[in-house]
Amino acid sequence: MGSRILRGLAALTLAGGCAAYGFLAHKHRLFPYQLGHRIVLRLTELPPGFRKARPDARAAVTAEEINKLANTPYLRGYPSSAAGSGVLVQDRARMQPGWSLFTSGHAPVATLMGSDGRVARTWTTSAAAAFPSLVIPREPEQWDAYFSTAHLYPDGGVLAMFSHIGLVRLDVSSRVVWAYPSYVHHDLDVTAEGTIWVLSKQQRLVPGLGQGEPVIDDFVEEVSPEGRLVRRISVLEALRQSDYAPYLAHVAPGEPDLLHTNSVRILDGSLAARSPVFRRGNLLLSMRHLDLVAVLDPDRGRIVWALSGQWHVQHAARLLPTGRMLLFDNFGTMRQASRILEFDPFTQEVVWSWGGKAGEDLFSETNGQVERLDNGNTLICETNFGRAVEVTREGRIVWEFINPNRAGKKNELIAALYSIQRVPEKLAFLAESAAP
Amino acid sequence: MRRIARALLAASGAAACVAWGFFAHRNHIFPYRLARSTYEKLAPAHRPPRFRPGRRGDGVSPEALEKLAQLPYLTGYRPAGVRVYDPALAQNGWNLVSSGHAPVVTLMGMDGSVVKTWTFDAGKIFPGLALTGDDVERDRFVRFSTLLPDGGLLALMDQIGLVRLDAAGRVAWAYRRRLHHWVTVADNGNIWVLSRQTRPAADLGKEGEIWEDFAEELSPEGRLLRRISLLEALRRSAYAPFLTRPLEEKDIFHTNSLQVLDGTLSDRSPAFRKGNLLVSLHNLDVLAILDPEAKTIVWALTGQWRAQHSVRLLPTGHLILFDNLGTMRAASRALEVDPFTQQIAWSFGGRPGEGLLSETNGRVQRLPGGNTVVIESNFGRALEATPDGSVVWEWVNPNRSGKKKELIATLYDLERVLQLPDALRASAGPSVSQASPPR
Repeated sequence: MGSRILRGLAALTLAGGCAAYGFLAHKHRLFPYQLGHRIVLRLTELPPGFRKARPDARAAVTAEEINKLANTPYLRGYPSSAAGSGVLVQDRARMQPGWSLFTSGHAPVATLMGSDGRVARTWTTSAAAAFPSLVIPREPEQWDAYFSTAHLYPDGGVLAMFSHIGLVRLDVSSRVVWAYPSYVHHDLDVTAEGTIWVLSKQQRLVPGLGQGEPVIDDFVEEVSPEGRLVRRISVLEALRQSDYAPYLAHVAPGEPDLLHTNSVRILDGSLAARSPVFRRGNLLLSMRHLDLVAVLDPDRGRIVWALSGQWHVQHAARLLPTGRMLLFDNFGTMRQASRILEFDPFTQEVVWSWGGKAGEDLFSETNGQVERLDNGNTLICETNFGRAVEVTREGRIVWEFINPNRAGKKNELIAALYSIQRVPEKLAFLAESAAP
Repeated sequence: MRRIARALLAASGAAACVAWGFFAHRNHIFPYRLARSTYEKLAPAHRPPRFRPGRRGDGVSPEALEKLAQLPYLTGYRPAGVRVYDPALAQNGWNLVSSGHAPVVTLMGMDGSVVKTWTFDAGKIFPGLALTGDDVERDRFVRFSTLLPDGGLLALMDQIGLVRLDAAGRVAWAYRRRLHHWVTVADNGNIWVLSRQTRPAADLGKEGEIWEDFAEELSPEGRLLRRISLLEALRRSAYAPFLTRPLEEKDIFHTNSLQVLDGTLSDRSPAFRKGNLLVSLHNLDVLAILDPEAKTIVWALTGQWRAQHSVRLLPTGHLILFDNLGTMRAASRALEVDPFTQQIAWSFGGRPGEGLLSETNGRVQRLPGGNTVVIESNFGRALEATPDGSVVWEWVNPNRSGKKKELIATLYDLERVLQLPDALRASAGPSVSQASPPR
C-alpha cells in the first residue's frame, strides 16, 4: 500500500517536473522549442488569405494581427469587392497621357493598354521554355504562373521577372533574347544605359544572427544589358558593416527573413548636390521587415543612409526629382488601411498622402506599387484588390482600373495586380496610328 | 516486451507532460499563473549594480577590454582621482558628482578636491519608505542631481523620488514617486521628471505587465502640474509603427533622458518648437520629441545608436548622446549627429586611444567652449575631450569596495558646472587649481 502511494507520488513529481520543463522550454526557447513551434505552426495554418471584401478601415489592429496579414503568402487571386472591371474612371483632361504596362497574377503576360483599357500589345513566355534546364517547383506559390514585374525597353522588348526563377529578356515579338536564372524577387530597375539591378535572396548561416538557424539574406545583383551577372552585393552585410547596424537588433525573434527587401531604384545623381547620399549609382531600397528605407552605395558595399518610423511593412520606395521620397505604406496607419506617403527624407515631414481617409479607399496587406507621374499625379497599384488608381495632388481620382482577369466559378476572384506603370505616348515599335 | 511497453508508456507520458508545460506557457492555460509567479520568486531579482570591477589603463582596444573583463580580479584604473588635467585646454569649473558608494552628492574642484557634500537619508526624507524586491538598495545612492540658481539642489533617488534642498542644505520639499534617470528645469522654473508605473499589456499583444513611462511637470514648489504617458503619446502618433518592434523587455521604453527644447531648429521643422520635450527611449533605440500640449510624439529618429543615454540638442542644431552599444562591439562612444542629414559630425570612443565602454548608464555634456565631458559610468571614470579627441581632464572615482578594493563604484552622474550660484561661491574658491595637477 505504502509503496503504491510512494510510486504514485514519484510519478506525479516526475510529471510535474516534465510539465515545468515544458513551460521553461517555451519561455526560454530550450529544446524542443523549435520542434514544438513547428508543430503548432503546421496545425494552426489556415488556408491562405481569404477575407471579407473591404475591411473596416477605421478599426485598429494589433502588431500581431498586422504581422499575420502582412505575411499571407502571395496569391494569384483574391476575392473581389470591386463592382465592374476594366477602366471605370477616365478623365482625359486631368490624367497623365500614355500607355499603361501591367503584370497580373492570371498569366505570365505583360500587357500594354490604352487609358480606355484597350489592349495594344502583350508579351508572354513560359518559364519552362525560357529556363529549359530548371526544375520549377509548382506548389504552393506557382512562381512560374505570372510575371511579378516587367520593364519596357524603347525597342519594344520587355524584361520580365519570374519570382524565385529568373529574369527573361523578350524582344518585341516575345522571343526570348536571353534568360538569367537567379532567385530574384519583387523588383528590378534599369538605367538609361541598360544596366539592370535586381533583388535576389539566399538562405545562409550568419554568425550572431538567427540563433544558429539559417537566415534569408537579400542581395542586389547588377546584370549587364546582355544578361550576365556583373556583381552581387549582400544587403545584410552592407547593413551590418554600416553605421546603421543597430537596426538588426530589432529583428523579430525567430524570423528568418531578416530584411525582406522589396524595392530597388537606381539613383541618377540629379540630387547629388543636395546630399552625398543621393550620389549617381547608389541604390534606394525598401526593407519591409525592418520598416526601413535605405540607400546602399554599391561601390563601398555599405548602407549610407536609412530611415524608419512613420510607415510599416512598406513597399516601393522612390526618390522624386524634388528630393522628397514616395512609398506605399501598407500598414503605417496601424489599421486595415494603406496609404501613399510623400515625405522629406531629412526633416521627415509628410508633405502629401493618399489613402486611409474617407473617399480614399486603399488597402493591400502585401505588395502595392506607386509612382509619381510627370504631370504631378500619382499612379497607385492596390495589388491585392487588383486595382489601380491615378490621383491628382488634390486627391481626386482621374483614372481607375480594375483588373479584368478573373477566376473562380462566378468570377469572384480577382487576379493580383502585381505591377503597373505609365509609359510614354509615343512608342516607336507601335504603328504610327496607335494612340493610348 | 512488457518492459519496453512500460518504458514507452512512461516516455509518452513524460512527453505529454512536457507538451502540456509548453502549451501552458504558450497559451496561458493552467497552471500558467502559478508557474509564472513561482518562477518570478525563484529568479534572481535585478538590483542596480552599484559596484563593478574596474579596469587598468586606458586607450585599450575593445578586444583587449573584453579580455580584461574576463580576468578574475581587476584593480581598476590606478591611480584613482584626477589622472589628467591640463588647465590651459580644459574648460575649468566644478563637477557635481553622484556615485554608487553612498547617497551623497559632491561638488568637486578640477583637482579632485571636495568643495561641498550633500547627504541624503531617504528614510528621513520620505517617512514610511519601505524598499522591497528590485528596489532594495535604491536608497544607497543618488541617481541624478542638478544645482539650482539659488544655491539649492535637486536630487533624484532612483524609483524613490525627488528631493529639493535649499541653499542651506535643508529639505525644502520631497516628491515621492517612482522617478528614474533624469530631472531638468525649464526656463519658467518648472521641473520635468520621468516616472513609471506598471500596467497590463494585453492591448499591445504582450503577456503580463509592462512599465509605462511618463513625463511629469512639477511646479518649483514640487506640485504635480501634468503627467503625460509616453506610451500613449507614441501610440497616437505617426511614429506608432515603432511599437511593432519586438518589445522583449517588461520595461518596453526605459526612457532615460529628457530635455526641454529652446526652439533651436524650429525654423527648419515645427517638431523642434520651443517647449517640446526631447526624450531618449533606450529599449527602442529611439530619440523622440514629445509635444506636451498635443500629447503626441512629433518627431523620432533611430538607426545609428543602441541603448543610448543622455540625449541633448545643442545650440548648433546637432544632437549629442552617449551611444552605449551602437558600434555593435564592446565599445561605447559619444556621438554628435545632425538630426536631419543623420551625418555624424563628431564622435569619441571606439577607436584606438579612445577606450570607452559603459554598457549601461553613461552621460555626455558639451561645454560652451567646445570640449565634451564624457561619463563612463560603469568604470567610474569621467573625462573631458577636446574637439580633436585629446583628453585634457580625466578623473577616476576613488570610491572602492571589495576585500581588495577591486570593485569600483558606478559613476552615475557627473556634471561640469561653469558658474556657481552666489551662495556656493564663497566656499568654493577659484575654479582653476593653483597646485600643479597630478599626472
